[in-house]
Amino acid sequence: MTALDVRPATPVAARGGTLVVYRWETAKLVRQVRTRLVALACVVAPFLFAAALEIQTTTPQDTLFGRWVHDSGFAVPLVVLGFAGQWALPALTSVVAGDIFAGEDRHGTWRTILTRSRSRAQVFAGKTLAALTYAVVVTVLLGASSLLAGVLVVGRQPLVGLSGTLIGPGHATALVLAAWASALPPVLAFTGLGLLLSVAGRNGALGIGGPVVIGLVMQLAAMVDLPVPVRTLLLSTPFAAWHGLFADPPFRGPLLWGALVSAAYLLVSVGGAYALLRRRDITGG
Amino acid sequence: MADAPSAAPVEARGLARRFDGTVAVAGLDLTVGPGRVHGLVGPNGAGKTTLLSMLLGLVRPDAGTLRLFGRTHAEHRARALDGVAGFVEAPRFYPYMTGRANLELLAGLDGGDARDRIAAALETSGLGDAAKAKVGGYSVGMRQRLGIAASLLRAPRLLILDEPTSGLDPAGIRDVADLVRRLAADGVAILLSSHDMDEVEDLCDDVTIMNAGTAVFDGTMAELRDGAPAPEFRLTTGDDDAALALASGSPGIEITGDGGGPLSVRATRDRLDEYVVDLGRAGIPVRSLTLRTSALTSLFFDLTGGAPAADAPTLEKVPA
Amino acid sequence: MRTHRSRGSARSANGSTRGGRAAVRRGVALAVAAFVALPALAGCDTTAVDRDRVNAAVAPTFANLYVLQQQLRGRKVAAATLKARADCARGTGPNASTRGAGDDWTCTLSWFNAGPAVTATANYQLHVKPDGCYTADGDGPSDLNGTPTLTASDGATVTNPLWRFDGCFDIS
Repeated sequence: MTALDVRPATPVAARGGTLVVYRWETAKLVRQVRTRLVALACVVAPFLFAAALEIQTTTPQDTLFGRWVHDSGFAVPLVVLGFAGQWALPALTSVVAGDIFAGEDRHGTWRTILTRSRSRAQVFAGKTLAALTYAVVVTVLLGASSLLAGVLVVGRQPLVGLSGTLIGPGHATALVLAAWASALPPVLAFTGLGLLLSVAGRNGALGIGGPVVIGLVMQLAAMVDLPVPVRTLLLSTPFAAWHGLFADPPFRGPLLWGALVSAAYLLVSVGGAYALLRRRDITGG
Repeated sequence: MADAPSAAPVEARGLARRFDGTVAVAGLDLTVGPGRVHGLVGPNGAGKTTLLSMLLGLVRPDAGTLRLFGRTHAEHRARALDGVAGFVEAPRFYPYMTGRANLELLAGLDGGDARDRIAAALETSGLGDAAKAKVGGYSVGMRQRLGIAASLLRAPRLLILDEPTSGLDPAGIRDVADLVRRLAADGVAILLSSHDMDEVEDLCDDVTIMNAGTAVFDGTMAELRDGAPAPEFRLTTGDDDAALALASGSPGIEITGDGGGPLSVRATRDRLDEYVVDLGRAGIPVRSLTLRTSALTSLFFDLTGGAPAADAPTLEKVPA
Repeated sequence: MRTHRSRGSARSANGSTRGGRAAVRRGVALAVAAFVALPALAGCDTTAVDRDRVNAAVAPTFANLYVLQQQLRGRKVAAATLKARADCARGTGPNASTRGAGDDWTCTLSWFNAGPAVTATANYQLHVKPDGCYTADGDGPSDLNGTPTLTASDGATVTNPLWRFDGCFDIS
């Protein structure tokens, strides 16, 4: 075979192929009603929540900072993070991650996109990046909207921390943003689980519901007084790593462990998903 | 890239694939030359779709070698499909996007100047204004046309079409046939599968007949015709008994009747003409004479071990 | 899509889907088994919640909130001068313990109030969660931690920081 033989009849931009897939996947996401609704809910829900808190005289008692929601606007994003983060964030990210591969099975479009000029590795990488981007976007939207809702509806009063110290508005803003940022690693890890189930199950319901169920089971397990190493390995634990930021003196060990454990979950899930897709026969609808 | 690569568009040797112990393709050889229209015919379950899926890199062969323009999927990954386009089974698209948006997406995945070909591809496929509607509302035939448009974006040198006329109305079938002829005239190699022998006879230069995963015939259409048995006709006369008696004396005519329905006549066209003239001379009125099974369809059934079904509309073609 | 598989690849499609499903089922079964086994592991005394950690967390938190409460009432004190100490234990009688998460912790806080050698005490019931966060519920004296709100020096009704409070300590 001479060099001429392998010359493509269609010129191909092989480099940057992942980026092309990524761009199209994000475009597809933007066109889906479901994704738009979730993004909208992330923006609107915190304001509704803050407004509902303002109307009521009672305060949420069973969650950290719940007693302070009438006294400091900075308590609102922390209540949202502690109360809704554990199950809402895995659910929100799985809406996309759990369906991004299974959707191709549902529409029968694997053979449509895999017979173009992109390798499976590029298609996989592009889709994975799109799902991870979406995870970051919903987390940022929900966090920013919660902070904004708290500050606008309740105000910028100092916040009482988890060691009883008063935290000024500037420092409190930084800590709230850091707390929400600390939710990103586990959210990305749940995204990885969604991707894995999406590839393995070829079924959007499993991909979306699976991570939520796994998250709930881990949360239930965390209610038991488990040994610390076991607890550290649960994917629900990193969602609570931000608590240490509000102590005096702050402790950051859980943040580090949370990031490491989340990264391990993400790598194993995404690696497994790719291994499954790489060798798979595309048959049937 | 105007210069066609010197290697054959398709060169497969000993391709085999089994699924869960069931053999889908068993050691198949297939060569498609540049500019040739190659038919792939076989009954359902013969392994046509698995073979086409292996060509497009969707299914891995268990054994054998496969080269497209000299390139293999294992070595060249996505580049193995450079210059290759087509679809297996009914083409599928994203229902929540318009036909045009689907094409834009696929052109994006193709890169290069695929985007510039969208308008021409839509024009050629005859999708028209339907391209502005969401694919979710498309009929099977519209999706088929969109599938052809999607293939044309790649400016293929090899076009693989899996039952391209299924779901199309007669005008659509004619459009596809015209397109295939035009592309072939431009030097594009076309591999098209069908379970309709007559369609393949109209369009193809070469034909591979598959049965149970193997090729039971592989050659040119002319070679196939040479080996074909006489076609079968249905004959209704004013006096079947007399017609039967008349035929029993003439050589080259095989005629049977079961008393009630039309007579079944197997004969070459020349012998049949003489027989009909004889019927007229003998004062036996011929009320209808239709082709029941064409020569190639008869051969197809002989080769694949099937029997012409009593009511198989796809096989029933009245000669024009 | 299932309904579309009438052609040659039907066997393969169903076959490989079955393979994927089986793998998923095995994975789910493994995960469920793991989480059933976890509580059994918890039977071993490996808890990270113990008296020293609870004491060390509750005392300064109480001190800081006491300062805050006194501030609201118009009295200025410094947390350091309080020298607050916590004496916490879990359960009572024969079930008494110094370890483990549960809602049966009780604490007695003591601190120096208003000048030297005047010791004040307060009681709290604690719900300590396995993750190292706790809720302390005031159990007297009532003017200190008996009401959810108090009247500030400026006459406003404000949240009483000592009625109930939350805190977290590091278990890692």
